[in-house]
Amino acid sequence: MIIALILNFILSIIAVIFTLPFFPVITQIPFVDSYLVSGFGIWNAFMLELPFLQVVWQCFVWYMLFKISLMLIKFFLGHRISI
Amino acid sequence: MNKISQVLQKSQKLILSIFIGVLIFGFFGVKQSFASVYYNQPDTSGVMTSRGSFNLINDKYESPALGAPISVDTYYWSNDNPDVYFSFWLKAPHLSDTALDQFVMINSDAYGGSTCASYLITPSDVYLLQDEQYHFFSVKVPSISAFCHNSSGLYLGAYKMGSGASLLADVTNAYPTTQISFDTFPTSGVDTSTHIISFNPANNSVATSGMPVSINVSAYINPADLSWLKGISVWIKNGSQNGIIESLLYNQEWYFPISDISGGGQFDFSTTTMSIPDGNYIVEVFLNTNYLGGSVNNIFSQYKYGSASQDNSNPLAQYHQYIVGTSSALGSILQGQNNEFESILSATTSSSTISISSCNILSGFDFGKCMTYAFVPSDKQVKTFINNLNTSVFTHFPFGYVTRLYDIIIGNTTSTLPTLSITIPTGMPDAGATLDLTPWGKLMGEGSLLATATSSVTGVTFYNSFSDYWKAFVYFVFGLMVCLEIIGMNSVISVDTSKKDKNNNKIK
Repeated sequence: MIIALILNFILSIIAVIFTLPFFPVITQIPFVDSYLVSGFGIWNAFMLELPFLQVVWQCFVWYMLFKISLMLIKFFLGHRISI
Repeated sequence: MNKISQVLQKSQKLILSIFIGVLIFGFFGVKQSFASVYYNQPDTSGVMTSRGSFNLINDKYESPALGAPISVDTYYWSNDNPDVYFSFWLKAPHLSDTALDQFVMINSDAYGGSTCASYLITPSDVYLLQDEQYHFFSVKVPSISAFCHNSSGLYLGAYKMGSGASLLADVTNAYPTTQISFDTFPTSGVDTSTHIISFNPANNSVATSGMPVSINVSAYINPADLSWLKGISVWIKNGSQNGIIESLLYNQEWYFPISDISGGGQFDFSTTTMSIPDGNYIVEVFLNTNYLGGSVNNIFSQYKYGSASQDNSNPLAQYHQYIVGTSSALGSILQGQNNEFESILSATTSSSTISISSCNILSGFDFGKCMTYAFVPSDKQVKTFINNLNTSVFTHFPFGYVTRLYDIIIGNTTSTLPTLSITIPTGMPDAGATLDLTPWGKLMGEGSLLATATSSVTGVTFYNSFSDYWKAFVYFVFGLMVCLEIIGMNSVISVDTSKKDKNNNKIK
């Protein structure tokens, strides 16, 4: 019960803090926003035109996730194992 | 000792590589099947004047012009797929709906299993092939059927297993009445926005223990959304608290790439599960978006379009919870506990609530409920926390940049592809003139040779013929790279700390 009360208290405090406008709302990324929108828009259009490439892109994403996973393993267990 | 360890290490590599290989190629297992349905188009006098076809390769199909008057005959590769099974709902548009529904089921074995057989619908009336419905259970047992709708989008008649049902032993052993349909019939008066229409089992329903459970999903895809919708997922999972362990008992997911649903319209899927163990279950339906693909899609879609809702508040992701058999007392507690988190985080609902009275030692003490009450924050606080996290923190500096970048990455907007422009240099004829080249659509898009070149025999485009082989090749390379990565990693992994110490010369 005490734990539940503490958890709820912490959550309520954090929740209130989160509502305080400490920092500005980000609607655009300065300098590069329009370029990013345009770039990914071209990328989307490009992928629509190249269905054969879509599966390659998907596998590439999976492979990158796989590699990132390995990197994380190495980061956290690097002193125990060598990859 | 070293030799033994080397042998062990090599064995370990071999077993690991085989395991990974089986896992990957099992996962991406190519459901290679091919079937064609040919149809004749009678002219106004009923004389067959032309012949067309649509084809099913794996889980893709090309349809004839829906609404075109047709009669149907079939062609199939019976030697390769002896249990190819077709069925159609047919409807003559000028007569009453109920009188003219005709259910035609065609099983290759019923026609002698020869290399070619045909079924001609009689009488030679004008029928409309309203829809194709298809699903492949396995390599050798696809099932194809069709529905028709009336103008209100309602099904006419009911699905039934007709002649040839006894020939479908393999099917009935797996999923007895699996059907998928996609309807492009005009649906006047029907909500044409992209949304989940309905799905079963109904929320809070109770299924009989030991019996198969019917799963039905209907969704409407607006054609305008086909550019960014990537697929429809139907997920049945155990809803008890210990989801990881329970999911090993029963966890079934179907994913239908949107590429199979050309043209938009109503998507219908129904199947019957095998008998599943008693317990609390969740059926979740959600539409996938963006170009990352696969399960990554699911994760980001869930984030982008919010949690699955139990009501209709989220048209793109919804879930129902249902019970198979009788839910045990423990199950009820777990179910209730799930509600604390997962009603917010898109999973399940509750049939019970837990109060502080369960911790009263003098009366009504329940250890399980008490622990649940003690360690699980209240629903309200968690909801407020999550909401504020999403609406305030993730939109403010500095996390707002990440959110903004993420929104851009998974955005659906498309820019016009650049034109390659060449100016003819001075000294050349027509100097100063520009040549504008827009090759994109001709590379592999809709106007390309790959997409338009059609086999005169099968009527299949080049792209549809070879896309699966291409995918299989890419998956193969992908699997190979992962295998090599793991095997290579395994060969140098060492948990022997003394080796490291020895190299570093730090331990005396």
